[in-house]
Amino acid sequence: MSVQTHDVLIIGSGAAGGMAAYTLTQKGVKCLMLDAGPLVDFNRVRGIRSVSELPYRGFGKPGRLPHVVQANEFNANQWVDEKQVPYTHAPDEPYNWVRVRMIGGKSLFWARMSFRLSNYEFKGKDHDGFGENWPIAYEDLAPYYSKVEPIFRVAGRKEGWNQLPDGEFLEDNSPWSGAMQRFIASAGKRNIPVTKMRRATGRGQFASSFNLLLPDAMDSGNLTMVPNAVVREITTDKNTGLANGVNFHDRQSGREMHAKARVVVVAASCLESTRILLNSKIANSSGALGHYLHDQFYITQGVQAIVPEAKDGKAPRGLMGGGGYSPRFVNLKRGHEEDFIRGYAFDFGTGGSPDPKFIPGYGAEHEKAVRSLEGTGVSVTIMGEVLPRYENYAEIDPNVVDEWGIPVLRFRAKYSDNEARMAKHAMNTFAEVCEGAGFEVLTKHDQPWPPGYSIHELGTCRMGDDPKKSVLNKWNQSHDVKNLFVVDGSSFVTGGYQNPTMTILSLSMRASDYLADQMRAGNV
Amino acid sequence: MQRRRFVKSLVAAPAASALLAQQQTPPPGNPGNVAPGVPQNATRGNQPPGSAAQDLPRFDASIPDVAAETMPRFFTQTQFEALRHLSDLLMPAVDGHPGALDASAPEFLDFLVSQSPEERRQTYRAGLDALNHESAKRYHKPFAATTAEEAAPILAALNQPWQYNPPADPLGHFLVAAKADVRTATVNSREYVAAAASSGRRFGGSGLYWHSLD
Repeated sequence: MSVQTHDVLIIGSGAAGGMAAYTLTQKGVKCLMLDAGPLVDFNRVRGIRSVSELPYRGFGKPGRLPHVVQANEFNANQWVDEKQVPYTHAPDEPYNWVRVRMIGGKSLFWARMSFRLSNYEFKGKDHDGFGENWPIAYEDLAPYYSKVEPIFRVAGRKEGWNQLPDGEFLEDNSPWSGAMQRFIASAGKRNIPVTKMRRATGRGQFASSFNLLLPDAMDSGNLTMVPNAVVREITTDKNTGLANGVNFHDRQSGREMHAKARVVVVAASCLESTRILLNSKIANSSGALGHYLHDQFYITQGVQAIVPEAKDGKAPRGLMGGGGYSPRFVNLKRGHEEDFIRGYAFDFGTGGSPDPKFIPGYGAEHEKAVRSLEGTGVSVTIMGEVLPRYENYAEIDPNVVDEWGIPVLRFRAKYSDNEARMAKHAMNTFAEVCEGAGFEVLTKHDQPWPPGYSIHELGTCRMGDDPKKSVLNKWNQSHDVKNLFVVDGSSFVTGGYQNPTMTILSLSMRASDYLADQMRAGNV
Repeated sequence: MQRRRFVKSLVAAPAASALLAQQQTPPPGNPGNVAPGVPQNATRGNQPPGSAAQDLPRFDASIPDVAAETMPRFFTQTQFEALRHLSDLLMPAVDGHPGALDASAPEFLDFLVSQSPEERRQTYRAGLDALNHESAKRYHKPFAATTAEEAAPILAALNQPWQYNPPADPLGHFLVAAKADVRTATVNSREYVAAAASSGRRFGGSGLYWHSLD
């Protein structure tokens, strides 16, 4: 029985792993991809159902996914079962770890918001003195963003803003609705920029690794894809300390297996990658592994306003509809203009209906009010930068294991005063812009969801030039183990206010280019 | 909250209907031109040989609510009667749309709360007890026996502007939760979905359902 030893073993098939496979296989590198979840036949596992026929009338089975706010009774089966793969946190410090295990990973379900980071993030310490700079600058990653955006067919509008660099967009020339024009005029008086959402249009149903990256990788003949492989740990050679493969369990039977490889690329998502490294007891001479956990804090329905002219179904044609995006507009000059550092974005829309819970009253009168406000809504999600701090971390819980006996993560993470002050500023600013546009503010609040909610977890294997302060070098390569690369969001130094997927894809492509060159040169 | 999640699920529907079209599911219900007594499958004569054997029948089956009532098990009788009365006050039938009682929302909520974590069970039990306590104090009768006018001051918390943190007192805390839950249990019911679809207000509350993965 012969078992092939692959050049590169990639753990994970989502945005990061898919891009690594896509890039390496095009260069002739033989890759083995392991994913903890199944290869899903989407035509078989999904079907149309009426909410009234679901066992829990759309409420979902109580207590099944307590940390996944995004779950509903339709999609409950797409998320990782919290009992099968648990994690722990202190009762007063909840962490919402939202996970998907299947070929394609979370790239099957993302909101597709597609942004570039800028030197306000890559060189954030230079701007305001906090934290660390990335070991790379915007100019290092820009050529890769430019290759990734056409693959994902990102639509957007070029604006020329330093804090949100333009990309290779499908030009979005759609007109603004009347309500949006009023909002933009009011925002303009405060120098708040507004643009069209930048969004990966993808192809067909998905903008995913599943349909945009993995098909080419498979067609190359250089990729072996093994679903249902739950990785326990990376194995190393006793003499050299180099990685030589992984131990994994077959998801369904539990059978334990070992796969060999010359190089290991970890792309299992930020926290699963970190968990694998911690359980492997490697790549942590810095002590930074698991630390600097951050994301973006999200405040959904931070402001709920209505357009009075649209009440009772009387909106003239073209008044309501569409939404926009406002990138960071604070602390751009010196970094300390406000009583907090860094900044936030608005993602907002018009034409929806306010949640009935926002409308006081009950009974027939309440129902009448609810219907009167249908289609009048203006609502915002506030997305704020979270400072990467050493005190926020994930570690191995010595007392809890998952279904395969693999030790699980324990979280210590909470937002700081900086995020709280930023949240209040964002809420008040958006409400004031609405009022300036002639909208009526129904409700506002500045309370973020628990850390993790945005599904943008970042920073726990951060890169840096100093091996004492960082896990990876500027090529996403372990300082300690030269044939080990970590190419997902865990490598971020700081995440900014922007959704991270375009940056994850670009970093993975850049690291994979470098890895292929190093292998060709015989350095790895 | 629940409603917002539900609206999210509707976003997936356009892609879903395309999927359904690909599957070429025969329309459910009674086929038109079949002679009485002739098995339906026997009339499908124009198909290539061999396909008939694979063309298994598809049935338009029913959910149990069509034929049976939920048996309330969790709340005491006094609590349950208060929940029924409250549900009727919160979500009466309006404009030909079924109300909470038409949709058996209280019976469903008895089941849902019984399956829920202790926090929700406690919220409902304490809240329903508080309704009866307030009613006894004011009117010397259970909440279920109050008129709408008598109930109004007991439900005053619902007229307050929305706050991120629900009221701290057990009654206010419960009322805010019940307002949302009764609404969801009603609008997601078979009765409401059918009425909304026939009046063209919604397209039947359909969504793309994920079956369990092997």
